[in-house]
Amino acid sequence: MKTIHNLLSNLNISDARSALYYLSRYLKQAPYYEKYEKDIFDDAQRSYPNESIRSVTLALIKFIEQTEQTPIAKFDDATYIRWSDHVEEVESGLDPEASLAEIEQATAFANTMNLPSVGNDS
Amino acid sequence: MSLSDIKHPVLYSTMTAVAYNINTKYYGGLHYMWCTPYFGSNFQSPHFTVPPSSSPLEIYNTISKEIDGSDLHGTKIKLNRMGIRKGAEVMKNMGKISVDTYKEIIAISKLTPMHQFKPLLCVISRLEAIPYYKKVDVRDRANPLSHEYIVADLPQSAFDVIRIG
Repeated sequence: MKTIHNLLSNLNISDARSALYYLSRYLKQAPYYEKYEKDIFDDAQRSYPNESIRSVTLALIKFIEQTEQTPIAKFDDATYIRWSDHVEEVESGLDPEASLAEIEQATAFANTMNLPSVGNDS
Repeated sequence: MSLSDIKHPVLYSTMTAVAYNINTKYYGGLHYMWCTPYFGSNFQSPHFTVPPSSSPLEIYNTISKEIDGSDLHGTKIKLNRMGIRKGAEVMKNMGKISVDTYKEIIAISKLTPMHQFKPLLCVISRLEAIPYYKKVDVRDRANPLSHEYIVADLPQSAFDVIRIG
């Protein structure tokens, strides 16, 4: 499988993460963007993507569609899942390995999570 | 169309228990969510103006199926893990969390077991949400077909949480 790593080489982790996030949104909802006049980069002001993030995201989409010789909007489930998994794997690998302390903190968080009181409980 | 221009009294959003707990512990109990006035029951209706993948009910059911194992190839929880990391990146860049806290949230997003990502349905008063409406409408559409709204820094007091089933 061709990989998207090379297209991210000029971005810092933060921008690469953003580009992969918008790519994952497009992969998930590609059939609906045109029909519902959605914009791939719709976001809150504080996280609105800069130009380099936008151009890399579009390049990633183009790369995937050229690789598959099919618009993402026409992907079957297996092709979507394969690319979605690849994008998540690359994005997850952007960070250094978690330290022992971070692993312990994350484990403690998971063990002490609370569910909010729900409407029919009150 | 702005959130203040629509007539629906209630907005809906689905988040995961992990995201809820991160918001509560690290972001001062303030929540960022995509929401819509359509709960999600009739995709064929001309009045239903969000795609199925944005329907809070559809998202809720999809996450539930991934957790109970009936959807072996689901991607929704993986996408939620990515969204949590994107959110932490934004909060770090805004100076709202430290680098150490950011690293902790990244570890949580990767290591928290799938069954902890229980879906939560948020029921939000539209009037309460208006001050927190933050979506950038890049096309400046007067009447977008998809009625989806971003609210940021929404306090817990502005919404209720429901679990289905």
